Amino acid sequence: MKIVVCIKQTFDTEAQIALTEGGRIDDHSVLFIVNPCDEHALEEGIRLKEKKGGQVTVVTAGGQTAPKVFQHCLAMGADHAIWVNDPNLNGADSHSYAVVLSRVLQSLEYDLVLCGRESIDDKSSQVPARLAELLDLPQVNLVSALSVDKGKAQATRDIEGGTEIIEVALPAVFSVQKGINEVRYPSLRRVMQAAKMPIKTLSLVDIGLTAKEVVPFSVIEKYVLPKPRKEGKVLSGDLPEVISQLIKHLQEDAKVI
Amino acid sequence: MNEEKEIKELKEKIIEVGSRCWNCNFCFSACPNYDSTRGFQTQGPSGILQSIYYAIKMDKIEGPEKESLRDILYACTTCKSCEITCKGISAGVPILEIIEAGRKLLLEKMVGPLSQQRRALESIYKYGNPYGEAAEKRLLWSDALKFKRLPQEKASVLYYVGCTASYEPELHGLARSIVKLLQFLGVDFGVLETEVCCGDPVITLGDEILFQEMVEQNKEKFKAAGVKTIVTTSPHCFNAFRRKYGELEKYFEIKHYTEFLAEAFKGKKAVFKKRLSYTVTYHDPCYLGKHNDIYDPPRQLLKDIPGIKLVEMKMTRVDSLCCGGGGGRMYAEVEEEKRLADVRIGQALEVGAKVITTACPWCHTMLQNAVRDLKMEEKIEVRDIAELWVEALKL
Amino acid sequence: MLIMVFAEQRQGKLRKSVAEALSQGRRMADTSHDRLFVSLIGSGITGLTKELIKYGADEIFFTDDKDLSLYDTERYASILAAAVREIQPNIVLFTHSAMGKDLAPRVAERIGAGLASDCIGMEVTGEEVYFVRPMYSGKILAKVRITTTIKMASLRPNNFPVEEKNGQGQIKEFKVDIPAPRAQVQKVNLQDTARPELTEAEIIVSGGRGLGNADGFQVVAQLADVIGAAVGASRAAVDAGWQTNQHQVGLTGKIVTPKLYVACGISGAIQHLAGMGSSRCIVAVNKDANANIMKVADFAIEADLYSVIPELIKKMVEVKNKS
Repeated sequence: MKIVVCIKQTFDTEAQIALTEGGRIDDHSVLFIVNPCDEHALEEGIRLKEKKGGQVTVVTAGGQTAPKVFQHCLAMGADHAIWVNDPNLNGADSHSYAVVLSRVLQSLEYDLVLCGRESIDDKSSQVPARLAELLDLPQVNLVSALSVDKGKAQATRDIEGGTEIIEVALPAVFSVQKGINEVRYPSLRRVMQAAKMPIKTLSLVDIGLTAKEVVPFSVIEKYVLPKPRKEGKVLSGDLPEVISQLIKHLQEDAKVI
Repeated sequence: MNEEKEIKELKEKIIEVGSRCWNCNFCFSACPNYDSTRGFQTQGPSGILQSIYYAIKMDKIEGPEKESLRDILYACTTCKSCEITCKGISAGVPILEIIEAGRKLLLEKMVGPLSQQRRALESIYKYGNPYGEAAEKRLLWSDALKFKRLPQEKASVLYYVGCTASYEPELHGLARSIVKLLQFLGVDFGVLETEVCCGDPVITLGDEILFQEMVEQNKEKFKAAGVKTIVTTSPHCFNAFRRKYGELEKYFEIKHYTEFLAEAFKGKKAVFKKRLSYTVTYHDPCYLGKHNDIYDPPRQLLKDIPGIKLVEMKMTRVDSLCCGGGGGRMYAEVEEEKRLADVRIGQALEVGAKVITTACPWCHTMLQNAVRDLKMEEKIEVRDIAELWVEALKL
Repeated sequence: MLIMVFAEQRQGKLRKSVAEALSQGRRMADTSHDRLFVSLIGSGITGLTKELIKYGADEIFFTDDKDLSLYDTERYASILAAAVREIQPNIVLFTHSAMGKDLAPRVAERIGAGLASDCIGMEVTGEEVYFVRPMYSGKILAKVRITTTIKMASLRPNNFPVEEKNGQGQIKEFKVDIPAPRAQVQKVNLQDTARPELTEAEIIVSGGRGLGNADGFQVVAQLADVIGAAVGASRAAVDAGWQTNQHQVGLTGKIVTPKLYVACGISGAIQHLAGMGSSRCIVAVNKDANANIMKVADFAIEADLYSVIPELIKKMVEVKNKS
């Protein structure tokens, strides 16, 4: 089986978010990691490879930390890594990434494409669907279980209040949820050895794209810090007193019940 | 660093050492894990040993049962009771060596560790602590306390705080108490400005190379600090420095804080300002007691405090019951029928203790959680020895 | 600005937050003296038009076919994209639900439109619209400008006020070829529960590690049922196996914005706060006065939840019986 996993390099969520003087996100001392959902997508791809045989290719676009992040992916068990790195990708949005990834995929042979359901920094959750559209492939999003047999996949998709079981012929695009599997831990030894594996680096020209074709459809005009919450009240006293105070506040002040 | 060779050696070691087991099963009666679970063979020391032994012999490390194998191997708290028993009345198999080797093997094969433990390891690699907290926040526990920062300043003693005391708000009181006692004694000490994890959880969980990385980082820092003595909060850091850091003891005197204080106060008359009329019992941390034979200094420190009545639980000293936090179990939920820490609190209550003292941040955390879960806050308190001293001295 | 709303429905019922999208659409259409159109796709759905008109629909383009009874990405996308191409609205609004997340970006790419997902606000200045959406686990808000002619946005549930305002209510059938499906729904498993769905619930009662064990959720569920709430869980509770991850509230679970969030035995790790921090009113019950959640809560009670919650349940039952 030939499996392609699309990866995004994201901020580590434990990181402090600060704005620079210019109102941009200050990322100079922040650690970049594989987007957590994408790690689950990669884990799923590797498990499918272990079950059915084949190869896993990871692809990412933009960002400057791809080599480090790919090291982790290769240590986990990916076989090939492709990085599209180009200054014209500054300010790329979901559409731009989808265009780039689709172009890379058009040059590869694959049975299925795995993505994480959303990135932890942006949470737009658009790339998998945009990618499927550009490749004219069926898509199944929010997958919490996946099995493949004889060129067909059966996926469990999460919807509000339950799940749907969907059957689709491959090739297809899937975006996976965190709960689909437990990601394996590659030892530091594996990670260091993975540093020796080659990464294919491509520019837009290499994949036949012009800067115009990756112009984003959306622009972030401004970042603002959210309004801080008003200070809360600590309710104290004996229990019945506290409970009646609480109910009174919820009815009269907050008006929520 | 040759992975193939390493794996082959690990397997050979496990087979060789494991085959010394007589299957007498005496170790089962000593094992807290076996006692607190459903009594399956694989939940006892010899059972764990045989699981990994046969998994290697039958080439099933990466087979369909690999997750069961992982769960079996990572359930052990590494308390050492089994080894002590085996040495005392049976073949003397170094069971913990097999568990350590088995975990290294499973981790290399990406079968282990348990998924929650993965985060602890990644956090140690990225931030120097297993809690996912920023490295910059490591000294926040000190609040307004002033002390030397190494290596910018120089001192003869390094107080190695450790990750748990640094980052767990409930343990900040312990770190601060130790600092106050060192100041009270007039010890020339300092704390590392950029302290990182000792690596004990790393080697416990089986990442050999990451552990070496932490060892190198720490050795560099110790060297640059130019100290003669290293004093630790945690028996785990203490044990790692003494036994797993190569010959660190050639260059530094390594002490657990109870040892250090007991020696420092010997012969001195500490002028206690407050009488603590508590009935206390002392819970021996496995890594201080069973692993390093330190049983008396903590007890001496307790007896020194005026008013303290020291009572012993039925499982004490070398027979101490593990709190359940070691072996990487601080970071993962492991299925138990009864929680070890709950049992331990029960044992303390049985002997009429109003305070259960200990000398390990993990024991402290496990016992504290147990007191809460059992809703026994009115009946018993968990205190660390340093905190009691600070209270009695009114520092 | 001509606004179009995709009216999500499943099994003949409109998604609750469609009303929010309609109201927002109505307000924006009114500001620019323009109209609000609606796309309604499904099977046996003509009865839903009344509700759409109640919240401002001027024209409803419906496609009703038995082949559309179950949601299918490519079929719905092809119908909606065709409708958008024909009508050429300025803005298309979706609800940021499972269907919205699946359909909106597909349609957006097909027609070459930018899409602002998970919006919590919009600012209209003259002809320009800025879409406000949270990023970096809610630590920052981004004001997004979409550069394409047709702009799309999906709205986070519970963030836009609902107003009843009748629209002109013209109903037009939108007939279009329906492509054959490639991904087919074999089975739908819905949890048989009367409780509201987590992301749209107005009230949520959540349990965390402080519950001590799985049985603790019985108390949480009891309170939830008395006040008509959904049940949520922290990651710690889900990791411990006390709840399924469908109930997980947090950065890697569900983001919720209820009117009232009651956190029982939850410490309030950053991950969790990222999931519920924008709740209108937060009540926290925790034994630890220093737990993070106590600092964020509007009303904090430092006590054993097993004493507080049963008492609260009793009092709420009394209050309900009185009214």
